[in-house]
Amino acid sequence: MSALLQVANLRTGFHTHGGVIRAVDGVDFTIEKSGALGVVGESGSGKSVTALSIMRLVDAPGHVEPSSNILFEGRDLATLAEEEMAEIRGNEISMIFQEPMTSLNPVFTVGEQIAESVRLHQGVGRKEAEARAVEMMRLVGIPSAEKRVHDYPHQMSGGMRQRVMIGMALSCNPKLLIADEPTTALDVTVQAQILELMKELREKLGMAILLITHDLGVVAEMVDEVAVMYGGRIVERGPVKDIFTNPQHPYTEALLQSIPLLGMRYTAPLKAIRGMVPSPLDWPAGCRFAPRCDYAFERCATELPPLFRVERQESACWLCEAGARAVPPIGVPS
Amino acid sequence: MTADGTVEEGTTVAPAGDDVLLSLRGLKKHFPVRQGLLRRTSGYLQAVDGVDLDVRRGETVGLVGESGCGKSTLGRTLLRLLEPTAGAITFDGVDLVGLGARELKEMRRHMQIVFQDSVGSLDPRMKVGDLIAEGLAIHGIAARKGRDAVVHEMLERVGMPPEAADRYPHQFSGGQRQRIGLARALVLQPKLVVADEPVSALDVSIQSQVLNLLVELKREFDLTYVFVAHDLAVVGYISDRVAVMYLGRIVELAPSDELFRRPLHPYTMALLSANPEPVPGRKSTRIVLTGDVPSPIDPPSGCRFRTRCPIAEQICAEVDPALRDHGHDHSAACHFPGKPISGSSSANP
Repeated sequence: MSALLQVANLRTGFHTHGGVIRAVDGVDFTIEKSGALGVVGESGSGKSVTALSIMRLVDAPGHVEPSSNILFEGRDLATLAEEEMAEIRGNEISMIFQEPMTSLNPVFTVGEQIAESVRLHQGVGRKEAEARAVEMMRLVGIPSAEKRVHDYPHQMSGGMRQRVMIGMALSCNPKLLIADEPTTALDVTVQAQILELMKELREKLGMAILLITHDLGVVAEMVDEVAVMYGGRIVERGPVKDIFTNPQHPYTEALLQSIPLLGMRYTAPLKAIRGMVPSPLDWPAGCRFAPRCDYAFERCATELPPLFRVERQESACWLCEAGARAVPPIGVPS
Repeated sequence: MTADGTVEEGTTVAPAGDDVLLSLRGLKKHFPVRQGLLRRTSGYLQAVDGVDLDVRRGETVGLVGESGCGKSTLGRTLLRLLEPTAGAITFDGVDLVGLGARELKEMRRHMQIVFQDSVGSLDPRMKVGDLIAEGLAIHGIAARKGRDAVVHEMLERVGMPPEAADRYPHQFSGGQRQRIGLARALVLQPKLVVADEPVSALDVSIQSQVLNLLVELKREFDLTYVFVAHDLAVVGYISDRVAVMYLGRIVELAPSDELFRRPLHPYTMALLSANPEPVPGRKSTRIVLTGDVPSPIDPPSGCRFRTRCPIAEQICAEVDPALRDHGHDHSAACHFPGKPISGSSSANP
């Protein structure tokens, strides 16, 4: 396995009158060829801006700082000329978003839209592009595809529109698919269909996936590696299985304990993380989770912890400096 | 395990007893669908189509289902925020449908609602204190002077500082605004609170704060909740009993534990298996339903779920199954309740 995408020291800021919003503030990760990484976090954690930065879709007043590295097959996307980037976008890296209705053009049929991206990127003729559109719609499981290519987006349900988006994204055989909350707007039974589809297509086509989501359940089902983001940084990463069963960062632990699982009842109160996410205009000086952390001590308030290796995972917590954190049994009063 | 010890006779169609706070019978809400140049009514969207439900004093009943199943419409219709098309609503012994505007307003202080969208439901030009006191003023409760004290106490109860009263809704985060919405509903000391997706717009870490608060407040104020949400785990967590809705009907109703342990309706089984849980390796073979929910303007004949049901047979297209009691306070509307679905490991009747 070799690295497909290597992100190093990614920093994306938004320059506003109130100061610089450091949405992404020093993020590193690697995705192998045909690998799958989930990036999970709450609103404002910087997960979506990370995805947009890779695609170079961050608009002014936002910008990726020059010290950032986004190596895609050896080329640094952070410094690539816009024309070259346009070649990569949609061709080698594709992206799907949460709301397919706003990503699709309402005045063109879905078939025309898929065909357009094929023509643009692969330089094939109209006829061939149309045939490819039908083929893609069949691939993503749209029944009677040859008829539905003539549908306009509003004639389709949310689930069908997301299938169209996936079809469009995959029409040029990208090496990496970035999916930003792909099922968040969908009902749970339709979400199950789309997740199955994405898994199936990944196996069939062998592309890598970067899955951005707030939903830990979706992460557990879709990927094997996860990065947990908080305050514009990765606070913990590693195999999903290790992290979900033995979280090393207090934030990951608290997050997992704050979600009701099927069968849990109100007689046992949920873990509540006190306070709120800090402002990206003014991150706390030390660990960004320290003001809300049950385990914080003096050093946490002054020094920002780097990622420490703990067996197969890494955790940005001072308590992990010397290896695994002593985890108190669940339910210990905070 | 909490509901197991309670009243056993509660079949959904039993006559309303004294322990029942809210009773719905044959409740329907249809919206006319207008089309064409003359806006003629071309059909009816059957958002809620024949719901029988008893909500007992002090319990939380969860309404769960996907978009368009009618759960929010039911929540609003049972408060008569929407006029029912047909059916009966009895609240605390009073027939709500027959009430005139003035009497209905009187009843309103006993039945409140909290919405998902805390931005849309709090007037941005009003201070938080005035928002909370508005209900007191409308119902003439507490003299003007005394209202500040009531408001401050209420803010404290929902975990907000009293200074919040002098600020505006936009100065607060989503979770705090949801607390303000709760304070606004509870200041009238209602008997029933309908909570419509109250935590759906919140981040998980804030969601658990609000859920815990809802549980605390219920104990403290002796409340009865109707909790509407699409997230099965959240609904199951907070509710004593859960009603699963599909296309305007209740298809299954049971105590929360019982529903998860022994789902009887194939739709419930599918919902349970589709729910993504943050437990890696729990990948049991899941029931993936095909297709989308049919249009509530022209629902399928017979059982409304049959077009997506993995175990549907001929009878399902012909006979509309009634919501029948299957013991343990558990009822389901299915011709083959509890029949295992292939690919499902969770169904063990």
